[in-house]
Amino acid sequence: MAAFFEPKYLFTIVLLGTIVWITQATRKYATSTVDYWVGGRSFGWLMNGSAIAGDYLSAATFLGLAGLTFGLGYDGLFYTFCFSIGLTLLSLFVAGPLRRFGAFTVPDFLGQRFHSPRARLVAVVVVLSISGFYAAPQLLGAASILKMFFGTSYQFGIIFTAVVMVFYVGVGGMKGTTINQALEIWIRFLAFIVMVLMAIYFGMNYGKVLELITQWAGPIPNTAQFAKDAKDIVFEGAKYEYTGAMFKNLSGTLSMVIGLAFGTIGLPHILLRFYTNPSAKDARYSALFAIGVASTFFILALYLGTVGRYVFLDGAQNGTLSPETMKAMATGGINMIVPALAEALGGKWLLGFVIAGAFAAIFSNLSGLFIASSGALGHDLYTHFINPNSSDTQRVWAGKVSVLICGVIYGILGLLVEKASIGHLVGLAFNVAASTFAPIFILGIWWRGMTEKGAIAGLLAGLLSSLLLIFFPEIMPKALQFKIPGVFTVPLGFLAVYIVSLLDGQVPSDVNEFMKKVHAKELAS
Amino acid sequence: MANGTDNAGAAKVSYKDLAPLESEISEIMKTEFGISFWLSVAYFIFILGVPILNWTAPALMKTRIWGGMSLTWFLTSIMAMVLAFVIAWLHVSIYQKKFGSDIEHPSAGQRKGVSH
Repeated sequence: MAAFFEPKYLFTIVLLGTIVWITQATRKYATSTVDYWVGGRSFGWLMNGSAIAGDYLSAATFLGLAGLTFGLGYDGLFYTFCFSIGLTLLSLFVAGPLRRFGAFTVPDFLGQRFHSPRARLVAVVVVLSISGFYAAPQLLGAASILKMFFGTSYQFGIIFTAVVMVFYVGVGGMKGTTINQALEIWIRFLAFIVMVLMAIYFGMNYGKVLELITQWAGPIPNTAQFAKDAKDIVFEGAKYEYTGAMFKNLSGTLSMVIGLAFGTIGLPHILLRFYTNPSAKDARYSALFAIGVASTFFILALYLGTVGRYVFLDGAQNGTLSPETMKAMATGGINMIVPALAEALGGKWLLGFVIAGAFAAIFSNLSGLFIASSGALGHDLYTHFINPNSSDTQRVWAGKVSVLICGVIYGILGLLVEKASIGHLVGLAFNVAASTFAPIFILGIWWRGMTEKGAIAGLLAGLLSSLLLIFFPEIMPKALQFKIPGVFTVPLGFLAVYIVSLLDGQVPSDVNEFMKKVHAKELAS
Repeated sequence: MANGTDNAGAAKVSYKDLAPLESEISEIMKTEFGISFWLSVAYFIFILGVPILNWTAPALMKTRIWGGMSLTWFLTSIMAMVLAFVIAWLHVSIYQKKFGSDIEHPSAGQRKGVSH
């Protein structure tokens, strides 16, 4: 029983209790389709901007980016740099017009732009693919964190997280999900702010930190006990501060930039957040606010990753780190760096807060994925194909049942990917999104000549080429085998839409009205 | 099979025979796209410039500039994040300046329950 008074239990229980309270308090707002799917389109830029940031900054960013910087140095920074681009491109080309379009889901865009059930159906398949590839590693991360900090089994972690998500999204709908997401991003942000202030308080400015790291060359004392060959781990500071650890050539680096930058434009759980604002102006400011939060978050994460490396080297040299922290930093993997640094800087209380922050990251990101994929099932499949004459109440219930179905499917996927690489699966989700929905939304919003056949061709070309080049990279020459093959698949997606549309030439007769709807100045209410 | 706006038999027209857009909409689209396009060109020069210079001009990118950071460390970990926000802020500011004066917003009381 005394264990439950440990900070990690206290903070996690408070977080879960708050989620339950918010979900219960907002369930009365989840009774009509417009409330359930888009929160009554009532969220201003502050709330929606926070929720977009919460959706975007997953556990992989909260724990992983600092961990990558700790492990890889400059290439960890560069990986983060790639993630920082997409929201800005989204705000430039898509955010405002998408809100003017004002539907419920991502497939709605294709269904209504081309009056095409076929295009909607293909879009449903792509949404489910992207969300599945993204949700599985998030569940894997959740189960790993539960296992690491609370000693639960992998299977328990998957089932527990899926159950929390089904309750959170199924009961609260978009209203409850958005408020929870907004709260959760600020928990993570506060955790990072406290850690940064503690690091500054201990005098770890960038100059001092980088001086020790970059001048280090050779073994790290007292680390032999953690190494497989029983020799002290060797660290080369000169390599740490420049590219080469992860990115091996320029073409692979540029492919990663393209894949991750365009990926954000096509992520269904981010796109549909712009439907929840009351106006296009709010949508633009929501995107701007989310970019501000995310950019600051990235700067803090990269600083903390570098501080982590300094603490490890300095602590090993002077024997000031506890054996647990030494072990976590030497062998715990990238996800252990932020928690280990939190414990080194602020003891068990800061560690407990960071663990709650990690759960907040998982829940907010996963809930967005649940909303997006359950929308594809409950709104696009049920309302448009299975029961077109359904009542509003039936449609809301279809949404809730879809959340349950997603929970079961994602739970099974989570159980299947225990040994998979989180980075590989997330990269796959980004690459598919970049090669499918990014061309569709950019060309669909700005080019009247796009046709239904062009849209379907673009979705299929982007999806299939991404799967092929990620799962079977050996079909390409060695020099062109990339982890994120966006440099090939993104242009292919754009070209497929463009060329097939030109060959087809048959556009919807009301395309001018569509363009007027998404681009005309907003009218007074 | 499908309802509402998903009408598989909806009329189509050849792109060549499509009536031109209303001049006001066409002008808005051209201006809005122009703002986004040129801001993204400026942004991509930076985004692609960093990795290209990393691989082609390592001596320059390793130059120490501030706080013990090399030029590339500063550009990648701080400047890139600031620029992501500045580009988006410029876009919103220019758009609002050009088109925002005609836009009125629903009051807080009217927001709830807005549906399209």
